[in-house]
Amino acid sequence: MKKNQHDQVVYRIAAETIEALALMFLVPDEEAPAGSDIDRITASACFTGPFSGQLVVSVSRAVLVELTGNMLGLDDGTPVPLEQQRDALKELANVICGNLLPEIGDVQQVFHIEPPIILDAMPEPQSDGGESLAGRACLTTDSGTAEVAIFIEQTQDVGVAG
Amino acid sequence: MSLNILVVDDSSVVRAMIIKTLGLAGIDVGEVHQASNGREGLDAIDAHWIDLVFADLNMPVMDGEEMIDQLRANPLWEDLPLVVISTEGSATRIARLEEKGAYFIHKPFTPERIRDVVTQLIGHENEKKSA
Repeated sequence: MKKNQHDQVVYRIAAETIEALALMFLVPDEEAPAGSDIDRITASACFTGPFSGQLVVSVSRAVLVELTGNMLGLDDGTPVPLEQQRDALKELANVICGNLLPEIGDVQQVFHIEPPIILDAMPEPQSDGGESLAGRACLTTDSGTAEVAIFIEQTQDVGVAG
Repeated sequence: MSLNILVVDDSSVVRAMIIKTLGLAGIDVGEVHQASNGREGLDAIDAHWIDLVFADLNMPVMDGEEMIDQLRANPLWEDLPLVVISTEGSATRIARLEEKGAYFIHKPFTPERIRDVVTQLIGHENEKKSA
């Protein structure tokens, strides 16, 4: 998998956030997620500020069911409505984004994060001056996989803080 | 004494998590009201006796900071105890919220953090009442 500037910090923040929110422990997966987009649910949180872009989280359906159940403190096997699953994924995107931006920017910088939305699929990086892929992590657990990616508008140069 | 709580967040999952965490933290909760944006939050405060508000920042219709500004501008609610629970990472913005009298809890949160902040808040309110 191609290396990007912020891959390591994306992985660390994603893993820490999933662990804290849902008590799930995911490990790095060097391979891109298998399966079609129909097997996954994807959410995006757009942000603006000193630099702009979007944070995208894409998880396999089984992971999302477990994630949502854990966030809500439900017993194993309790049915989880799809709307709550989507809500949980949007919140995951929101929290990862909020924790990641000060790491790749600066704690004094003010960002505005839009309410997250559900996407049909993980976006493709743009080579024509749009958003470029600045960091990506693939994580795996027994239930399935999670992919987290941050895209930043190509007009802005962002270095790693500290 | 039970606290009547208002939870303001556009995510129903987060509202459920906060309410569950209040129980895990051992907070004596009375009535629990929920709102999905700042506008609904203000309506709930107008309609019910609320002792403590938990609010997110980034919400549609009316965000958390605008809700706080409107609360602090109203003599009825200028001292209403308020806790912001948000992913906000800007030290600048957090300081601004604290200047408006809001306590801040960073997401993801723990029951211990919520317990400590509520305990601090209740202690502060009791001090004001006995002064």
